[in-house]
Amino acid sequence: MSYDFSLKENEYLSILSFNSPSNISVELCGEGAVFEYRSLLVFGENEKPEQKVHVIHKAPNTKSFLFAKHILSDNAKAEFNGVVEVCEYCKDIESRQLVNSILLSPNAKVISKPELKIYCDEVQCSHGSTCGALDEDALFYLQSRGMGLAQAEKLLLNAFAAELHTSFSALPMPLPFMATSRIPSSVK
Amino acid sequence: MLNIKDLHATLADGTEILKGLNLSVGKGEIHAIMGPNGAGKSTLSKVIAGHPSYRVTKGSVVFHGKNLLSLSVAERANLGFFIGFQYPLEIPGLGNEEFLRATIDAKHKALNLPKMNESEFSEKMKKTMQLLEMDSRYKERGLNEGFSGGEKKRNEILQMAMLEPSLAFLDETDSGLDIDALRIVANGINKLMNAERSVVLITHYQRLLDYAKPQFVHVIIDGKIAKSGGAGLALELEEKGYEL
Repeated sequence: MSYDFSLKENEYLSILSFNSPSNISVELCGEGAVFEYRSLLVFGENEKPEQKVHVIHKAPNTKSFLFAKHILSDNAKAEFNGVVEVCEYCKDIESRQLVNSILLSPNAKVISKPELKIYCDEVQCSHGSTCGALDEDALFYLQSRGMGLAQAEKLLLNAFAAELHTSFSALPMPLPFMATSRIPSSVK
Repeated sequence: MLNIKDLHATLADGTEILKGLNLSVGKGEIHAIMGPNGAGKSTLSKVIAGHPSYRVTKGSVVFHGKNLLSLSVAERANLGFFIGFQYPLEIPGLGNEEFLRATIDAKHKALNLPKMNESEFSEKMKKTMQLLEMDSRYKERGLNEGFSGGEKKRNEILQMAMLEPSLAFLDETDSGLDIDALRIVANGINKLMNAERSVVLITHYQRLLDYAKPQFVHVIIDGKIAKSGGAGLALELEEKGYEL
């Protein structure tokens, strides 16, 4: 699915998506516009979800936040392409991009490309990407409190997913969603 | 209650950390384990808890008459063993209360006890948090997420008090605590103690032992208990160091 959005002055858009790999492009055209994107992909077998998010800051004093999480098992291969572009003369921009992936099998893969194209000074932009298995020490911590390995894994995966709405909301107040789907309380 | 005989344990690369350690802990006892950095104090508690980074190459650990080394990490916990971590991990996204609820449920299930009902759980958690002078907002926060060092240690004691283990190894629970937090944590430990329960305090400092008084003090040096004594030994070490 492809979506194009254009945000005018002081408009905001928040997208929370679950297992909906899509092609999203957003132009921030008016001052004070804010875009927030949070996505969780849980895939397995031979699935190959691809996600593209392209944000263009065309006006000064605009913000964008992109948080993507992947939980991949079997031979799944996910691709995330995030591009945040800041046009010339667009000062006071804040943008953050973070991609976290958990690979549950040695054959699962993620290609993560959080990119920045900046043509202006005086901006605050960050991008990062992490990838790994479930943390062994975290699993040990939960098991040391009496949970079996399977339950510890499930709790950690749920925690990883839940972070999208507990820790990762960059905005101080909940926003109306343009496109939403709930993160399930238990990840398969 | 706990009998450790000639325990040898190595890291995955073969480096031997515990080199023939012997320790017995009886019911209702407080023990303190002291010793220089790198002597094997933290390793001892992790090996007993079943941390996958260590391999036991020799010796035995018997807890409540069972061979602890043959049990899984969770089975050890549900048999009554608790480890208080030196550096408790942060797990964002897993609510502190949700986590405690899951641990209590796991324990009750393992012991074939009926599920603790919601009001009993809430009441117990509320009382324990009051005892530890923890603000109720810690219930909703992610497990240790953004907690200060002292708050993390209190949270470990909260978990211990909720789970009511028969034996707790508390690994440097006093490190990083200011004097008020130390008193609160010691209070939590003392509250848990009774004739059936025991605590092993791994510490560098005498000051925790002023509040939670041990009957036995052991010194680990180079993977073995080098000396054991009464409470006076801790004072002696404080004064003279580990040159025994």
